[in-house]
Amino acid sequence: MRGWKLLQWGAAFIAVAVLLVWALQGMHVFTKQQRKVVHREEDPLFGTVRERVEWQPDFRLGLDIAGPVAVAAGAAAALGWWRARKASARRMSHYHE
Amino acid sequence: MFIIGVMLALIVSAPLLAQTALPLPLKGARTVVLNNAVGQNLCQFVSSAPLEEFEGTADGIEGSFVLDPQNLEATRGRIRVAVASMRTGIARRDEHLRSPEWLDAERYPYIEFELQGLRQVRITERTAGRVVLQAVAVGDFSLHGVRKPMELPIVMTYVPESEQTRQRAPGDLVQVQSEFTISLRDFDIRGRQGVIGSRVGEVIRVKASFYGATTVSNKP
Repeated sequence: MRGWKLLQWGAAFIAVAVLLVWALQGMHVFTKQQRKVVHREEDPLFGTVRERVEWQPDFRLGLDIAGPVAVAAGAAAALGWWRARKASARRMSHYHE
Repeated sequence: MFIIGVMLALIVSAPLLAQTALPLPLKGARTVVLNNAVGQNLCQFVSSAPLEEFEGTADGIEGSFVLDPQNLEATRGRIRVAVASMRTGIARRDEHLRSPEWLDAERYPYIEFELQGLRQVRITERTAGRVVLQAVAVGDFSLHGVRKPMELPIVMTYVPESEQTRQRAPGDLVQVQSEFTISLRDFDIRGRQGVIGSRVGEVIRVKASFYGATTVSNKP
């Protein structure tokens, strides 16, 4: 029974944590690996602002990963809760007998 | 009646026959080849849709154009952007972008603009160091195997060769900037059903910066 309880709470924690991280990181549909960084500098030759763009590593969790992980963890939590409840009911019936 | 007709024809055709000269002591046509040493050749694009806004870049740009300093309207050339160089910061979306459902990079590896001339050329700045002009670039835009005539507003800056310019590249230096929009439907880009209009904008905003140098150096 203790194992099922552990699964229930552990999986629920993972589901909530993953969704929380996804929400805090901007609720992206796809997981981002990079972000665009624009360097702007005055260009005396052309009299304009010259832009140099580079992509830097920047991980942002997307729903493509967070969604399946949260669903799987949620399902595991539900299973843990159901099995723990069943074990508890069995123990209670033994006690009454 | 004949004279009125001739006058009307001249008035109508005047803009077509106009020849704008670069106010610099230059003779003969020059070929400008895009060169990243002059500045980063880059196209930036933004897709705005109700469910998602994203931006990306493409830096696989090559091309050249021939510029006649005495007749800027006759400028001709070709610039192309490699679809494979397009990035949005999300590897999976980049894969989708290149897939047959979207830009189909395998069949159509380049987005191309074939410049056939300039219209409405207007010199907006003229100093000893550079000449800035605004114009409308007329040509054919090819994307996803569809070729369409398009007119793009441009700002061109021409910098004659000097000690300063030679630090970047030999020859006269040229910068061309343009901002325009592309309708995906016009180029038969359909994507996955229901995605255009919800997660991908029907119209993509593009900001392009091209840098090049003339191949014939004025000075040894």
